[in-house]
Amino acid sequence: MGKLFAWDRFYENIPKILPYLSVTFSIVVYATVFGVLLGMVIVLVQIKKIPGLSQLVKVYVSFMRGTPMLVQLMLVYYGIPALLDPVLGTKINREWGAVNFAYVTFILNQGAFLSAIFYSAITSIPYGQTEAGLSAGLTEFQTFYRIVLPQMVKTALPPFGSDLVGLFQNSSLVFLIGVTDIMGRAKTIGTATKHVLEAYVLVVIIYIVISLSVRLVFFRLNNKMNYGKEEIG
Amino acid sequence: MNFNLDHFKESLIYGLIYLPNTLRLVFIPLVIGLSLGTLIALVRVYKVPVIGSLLALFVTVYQGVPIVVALMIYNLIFMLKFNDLAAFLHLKSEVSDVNNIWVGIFALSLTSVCSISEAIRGALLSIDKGQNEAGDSVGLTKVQTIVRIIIPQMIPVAIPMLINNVVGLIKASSVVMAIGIVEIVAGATIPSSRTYAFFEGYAAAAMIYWAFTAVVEGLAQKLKKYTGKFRRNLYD
Amino acid sequence: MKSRMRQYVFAGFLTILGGVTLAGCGKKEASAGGGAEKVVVGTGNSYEPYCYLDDKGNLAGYEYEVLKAVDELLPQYEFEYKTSDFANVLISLDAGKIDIGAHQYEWNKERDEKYLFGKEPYTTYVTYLTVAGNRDDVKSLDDLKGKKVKSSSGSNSAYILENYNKDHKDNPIRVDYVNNSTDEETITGLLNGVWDATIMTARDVDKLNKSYEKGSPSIKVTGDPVQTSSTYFVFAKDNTKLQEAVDGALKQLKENGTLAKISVDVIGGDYTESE
Repeated sequence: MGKLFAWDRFYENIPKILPYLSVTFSIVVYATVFGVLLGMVIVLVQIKKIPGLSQLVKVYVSFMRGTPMLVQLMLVYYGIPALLDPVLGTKINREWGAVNFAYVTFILNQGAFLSAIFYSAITSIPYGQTEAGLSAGLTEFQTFYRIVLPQMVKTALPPFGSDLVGLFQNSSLVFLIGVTDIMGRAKTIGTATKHVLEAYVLVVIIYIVISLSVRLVFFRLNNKMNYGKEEIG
Repeated sequence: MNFNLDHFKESLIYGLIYLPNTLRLVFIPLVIGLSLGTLIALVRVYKVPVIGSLLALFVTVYQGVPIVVALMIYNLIFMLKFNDLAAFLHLKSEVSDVNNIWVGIFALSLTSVCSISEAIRGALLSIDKGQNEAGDSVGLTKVQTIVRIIIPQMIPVAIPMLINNVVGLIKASSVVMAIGIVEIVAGATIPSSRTYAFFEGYAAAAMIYWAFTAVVEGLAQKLKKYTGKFRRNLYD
Repeated sequence: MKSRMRQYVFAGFLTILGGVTLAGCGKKEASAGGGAEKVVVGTGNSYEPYCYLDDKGNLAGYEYEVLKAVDELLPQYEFEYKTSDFANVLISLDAGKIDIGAHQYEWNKERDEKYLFGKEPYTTYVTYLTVAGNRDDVKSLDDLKGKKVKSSSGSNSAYILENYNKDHKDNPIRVDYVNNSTDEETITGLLNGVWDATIMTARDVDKLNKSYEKGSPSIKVTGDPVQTSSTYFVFAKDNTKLQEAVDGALKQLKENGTLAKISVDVIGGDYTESE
């Protein structure tokens, strides 16, 4: 059945796949920006223990964290219009492109995941720190902003970076609801040309480059924040 | 769109039939991930020369590879080359004898080793260097310091991230349906190929996963209380 | 304390704003095209040469060409295309996201209960058991008891296999559901014995064999046809108006030879009436 991998096919794929990076990036940008905001709201609701809302948020986070992305994409794609259209009188079912549902799914998913990261970062800081702040005459907000937040950001940074890398990879699932991103394009090239390995390898390389760049940025950030505390070892 | 409860129930049953496959796909990679992941984290944190940087390179690069793509590539290679490999090793088995669930387990194990090592490394790094010095000063060896001082402190910090990893692993296991292994999602949508009630199939799969991860998180909460009982915390 | 609260409220506000912006974008994309009623066609993106993405990433293939010709005959409608995978096209139809499903759908009883099939077939679809070129032990479904057969969920071949298994519970065929597999995986799996057989049309088998280098091992169809049927466009249950319009246009295309011409051009032979 011929050669499994041929370099000329690999090179031919580059101009076919690269333009679809814009789809991958737009999903990641939307999911991160709005996911961070949503995550912060969720953490606030959890820490303040707002009655009713905090239970609701708990169920929501647990569902988002507890079910596969693939399944969530399907449920949002088919379920959200079925829920919203009759109530709001909208027609998003037919008028929204699949990519919009992908944005919504990833924002909802990231919001839940980031809230878990933020929450565990906040709770990893001993309460003694807050007591120290308060006893030194700072207000609660000042204590949070000047003492808790900087430490929290530092703890949250590495998982946030991993999350971002994971987000890039998860975005490849949107192909299943008909959005063509780089992975989707690789598969369709496989269909059209009958050779898929070269396209997959190219996609792997693209993802590795993205992930290394993200990691480099976070490594730099992390180093900047590493004051006042030495690593063990 | 109408939600058909009977189809949903049928899918639920089919999904549950294949739960053991998902359990295998989660448990084996988890055990491998915890043991190798902790080892890698320690090697990297204590900066063992050469091996430390090699592992760092591997983990960093491999974490960039989406599991779906990795799985597709492994499966293609497995189907093409396994017979040659078996002949080379004088194994009396052929690709048709081997369940390709092992390809899934292999792919998931590599992913979980990487992500768990990162979680544990993060936790180790959150422990102050002074703890090592404290261990030294009371005459503990390096290994004793790690086992008795560092790891017990590391565990409560690592647990939330580890739960993330376990839950991630449970969910990632669903991608193996792409190479024809029937687990919860693929199982729940088996009746759908007859009834076209795919939405009900996915909803049933979601319910099973949700229950599964809720059990895991419940257990993890207990563990967290147990391991973290000496740490004071306002929010818990 | 108060200002912290305010910050979070602001964040929440931004989130809502974002949602509204998103909704706005979606609306803009869709509101193009005046006069004619918009019909959304759902088709696949990975079944060459019926529905796939070409070099530039645009939808191409037999389904698209036929539907384009149909659209030209129906001034009252304007077709718009959405692509996804095989099973999702049918779910989308069910969910009201699309009006026509086009993915070489064969008629079967279960599908007929849920969807409205066109009355006018536009391709014949005769499927055979397909095995590695060097295998002569498989002639019918009975030879496959206890063996592994590749299928995909929601497909007609899965329907056939499951029906067969219903009558042979003692020693059923082991059905492997591999969704979204590529042709390369199918052919490799058959040649290496991962699967003992799969179900395909003869023209798809020819296409696969031609796609890979000559002289290398190939796959073949075996035995009598598993099923002889045709493919139809699929509509939502109550959408008879659209179904009749499309059927009328198809009939016209058949009579003036356009459909046969498209079949020859795209698939490589006239498969509109018989094999």
